[in-house]
Amino acid sequence: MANFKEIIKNSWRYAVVVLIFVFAFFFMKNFVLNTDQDHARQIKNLEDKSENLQNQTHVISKDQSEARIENFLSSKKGDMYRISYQVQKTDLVAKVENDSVSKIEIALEDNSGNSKTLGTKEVMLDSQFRSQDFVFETDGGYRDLVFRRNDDNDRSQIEFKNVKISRLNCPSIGCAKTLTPTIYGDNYGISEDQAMLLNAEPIYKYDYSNKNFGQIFKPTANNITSVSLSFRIIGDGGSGSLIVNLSKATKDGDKFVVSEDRLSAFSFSMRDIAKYQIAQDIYSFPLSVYVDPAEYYFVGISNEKAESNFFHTIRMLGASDSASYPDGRAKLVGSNKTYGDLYFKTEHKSDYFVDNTLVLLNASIEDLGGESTYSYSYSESANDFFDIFEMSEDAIARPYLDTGSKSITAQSFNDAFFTYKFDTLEPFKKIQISYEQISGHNINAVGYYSFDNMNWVKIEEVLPDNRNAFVQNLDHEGTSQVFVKFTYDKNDIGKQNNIFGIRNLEVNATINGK
Amino acid sequence: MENNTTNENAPFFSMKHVFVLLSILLGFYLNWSYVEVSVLAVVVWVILSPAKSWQLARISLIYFVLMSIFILYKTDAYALEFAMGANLFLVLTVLLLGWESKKTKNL
Repeated sequence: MANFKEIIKNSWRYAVVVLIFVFAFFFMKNFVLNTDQDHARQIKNLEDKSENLQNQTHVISKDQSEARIENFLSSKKGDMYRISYQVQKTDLVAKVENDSVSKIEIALEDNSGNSKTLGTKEVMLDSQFRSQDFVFETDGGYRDLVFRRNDDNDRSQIEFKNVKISRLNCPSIGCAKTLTPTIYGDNYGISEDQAMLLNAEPIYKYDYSNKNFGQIFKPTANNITSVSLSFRIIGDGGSGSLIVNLSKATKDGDKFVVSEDRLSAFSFSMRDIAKYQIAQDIYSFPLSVYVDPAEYYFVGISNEKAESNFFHTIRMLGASDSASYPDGRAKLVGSNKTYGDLYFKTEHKSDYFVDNTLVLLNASIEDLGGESTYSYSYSESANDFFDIFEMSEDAIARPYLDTGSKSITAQSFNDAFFTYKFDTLEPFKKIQISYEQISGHNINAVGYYSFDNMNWVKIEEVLPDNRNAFVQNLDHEGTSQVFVKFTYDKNDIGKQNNIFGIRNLEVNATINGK
Repeated sequence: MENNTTNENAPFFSMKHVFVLLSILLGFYLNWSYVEVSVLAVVVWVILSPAKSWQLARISLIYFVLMSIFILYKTDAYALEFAMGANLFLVLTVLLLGWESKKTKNL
């Protein structure tokens, strides 16, 4: 005992230093390598979210009552218009069960500030944008478009994009109401598949080592477009990238074994986590993958590319009762411990047919009175992938959604290709196809068009102000179908990145009236 | 108070040095700035080699001088870190001064 006291007496200084080291190790890890850069990024993200006019998005943030688009139109008395837009409601303080409806008033304002309310629309909490439109007649010269929150107590964030206005060839509102309602692929195509919507209990907290934690589930649809997961950020959440990943799982007796081959993955960092948040502690991530409804799958988050510690990490939420979701359970890959079930929701796309013709998720067909327009535009979501008509069979050469470059990308390998089939329902008079290839050290993409999916013509016209942007204008009476195929330039092989990809794919057609 | 006189037989590289080196390595592992690493190393050194209050005051003064230089050269981020270091050593100086005066009274 005396000896022990002697040791303590002589070593207490070292003990204090060791305690300082332990404290620093656990509490004082600095995840921000470059404070200035990170701060700048955070500000940029905030700007992206609040008034990103470059991306043509307009936001009513939780502290605002309206979003205004100035000089949106220049109307005269008696003009008939249709305003169309995509809208998404997120509520960062809402609980999961929240399915409240926000009412949005749409109004026009003239130079003197006189306002004309066109009407109200309802918006529900959603993981993705949905299309809406509004037909109206103007009674004077209006300039600004205003989206206004109806209820001041509503603290949700409502975001608008792709706000467009079309003048209708109609002399009266009566005529306008007889027009065929606009067809939007995204409104009909996406719906919930599997879900377990309880997130009151902490289920798993990531620590230092490589861990992949998620939920086993059994889909009923043959594809997954997005997955929502619930987690709480502890401290700053850690640094690096967390990877949302989906793999096949097999049931072995009472256990599940997760395949090492990932079918789809999406990485995100805590720096831009706000982009994916749809409600309090709930985040939605795009995944684009075809699945087999007869099989089990695992969807989870891996921290293999992230740095986290006890005080800066994430905690997955769900329900500790394993019966919360009957067709699977929460699982830590490599472990057979029981955790209950995670909060999760998968969404899938369903094919939407009009007159036995598939309407693409990113497409809309608008009746202007006398003639119609067909519009297709990449949405930088899983829709861009699922709209593909044909693609390489080879697993390595299969295209995928690259959310970093906002493109559909594929390895320049084994004649990799992907084709879109655009069907305008009625024969088109004129059609314009445009796209941009991803630049940098990537292999050049080559685009072709065809009316029969066999005889291909190369798209060669380059836009003067952007050498990576291509356009093709076509007049082709009598057909309603056009195929557009993308592959890589075999003469360009050898560049730094052996991938090719396209973004901003747009197709606009004028269709003969019925 | 422990004997703080230089022992000529003391090894050139003692356990004290190992701990100071460890503190520097830990600081870099935790992504700390150079200034923060230096503060941890000095604090560890001070704990292991009992310093007098005037020695801590001198370290504090050095940090204040460095802070002033960085303010002059408009590098506010570094100046702020040195200011925090200077304040830390100033607090340690005052605490040590109190302890020393208590010991003197007891004598």
